Amino acid sequence: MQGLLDTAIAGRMDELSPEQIERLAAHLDESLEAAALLADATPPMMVGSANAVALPTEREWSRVWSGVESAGAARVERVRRGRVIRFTQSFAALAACVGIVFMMQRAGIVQRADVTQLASGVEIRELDVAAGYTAKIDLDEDGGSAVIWIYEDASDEGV
Amino acid sequence: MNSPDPASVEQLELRIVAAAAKGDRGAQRELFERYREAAYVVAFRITGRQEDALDVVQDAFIKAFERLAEFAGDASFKTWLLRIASNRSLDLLRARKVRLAASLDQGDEDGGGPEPMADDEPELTPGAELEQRELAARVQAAVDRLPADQRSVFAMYAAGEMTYGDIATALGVPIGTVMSRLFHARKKLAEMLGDLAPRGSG
Repeated sequence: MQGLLDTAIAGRMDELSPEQIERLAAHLDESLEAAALLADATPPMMVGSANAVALPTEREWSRVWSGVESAGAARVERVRRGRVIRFTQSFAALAACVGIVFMMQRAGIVQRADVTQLASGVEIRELDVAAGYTAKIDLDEDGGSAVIWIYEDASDEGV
Repeated sequence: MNSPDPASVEQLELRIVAAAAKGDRGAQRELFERYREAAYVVAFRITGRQEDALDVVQDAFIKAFERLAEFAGDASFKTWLLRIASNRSLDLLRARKVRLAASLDQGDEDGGGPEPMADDEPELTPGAELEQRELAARVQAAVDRLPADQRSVFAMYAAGEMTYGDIATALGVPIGTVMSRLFHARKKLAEMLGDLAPRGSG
């Protein structure tokens, strides 16, 4: 097997038979060491003109490069537009939220946190608490403000 | 004269690739100039057509520059680029076969022969030019008859300066497979083009 590998590394693979090539290929699949030895070898060039390819002209290369450049510029523009759109969408969403809150405040649905209006003339008719608790209402002297105390039945301290 | 240190050459290329990944047009142009021919040879050998090969080269560089941030550097940029070119070429080939099959069903035929050479070739005598065209056409016609897997390995090999390892990495196949496919491709081409070999060569 080493002889076959040496022949391939030396660029003389054409001297081997198809069966030898298949045996060597199977060996290369199994042996990382052997594969590493062949990995750095360059296949032999074919005799004759099999490698000759008529290359494009400079004009054709310029056309190809223009296409590559245009695609790159279009991609940059797409990324930039994507950022602008995302910013605009975020800004629009934020503005919409602010607008909704503003309209809700004007309609009295939402109260500003810094302006608290106490309800007046409210009569509490019934106050339910969970089992094991007792509620007590204390009114101030002028009957204005009320404090609702909730007691645990086993304790005299307010919760 | 001393040849450049391979390590410094590799470091220079890594810097160019890094700059290209950041959108440096000059660096991208440098990579294009360096590897356009190798990509073209691979594409031409697989597709057999000049216009298709040019389209493949353009697509390959566009895709390579788009994905340059993903390029890990474990293979060379050339190997990576040629893999993209090879895959794109095979896609074109498959699409062409589908179109050809469809057109044959309808009673038409797609001209599948090798493309003529470009118009603005370096000046040759008329006789030499004709001979070169005929030679190139014969070679490509022979390559076109290879199975797709052998054709892609051969195309990579024909790009030049590719080791077995480079080809295996570019195509994503084991080295033994590369060797086997290349062996069979060369044998078939030698049978079809044996009369082109110079006398005394082997």
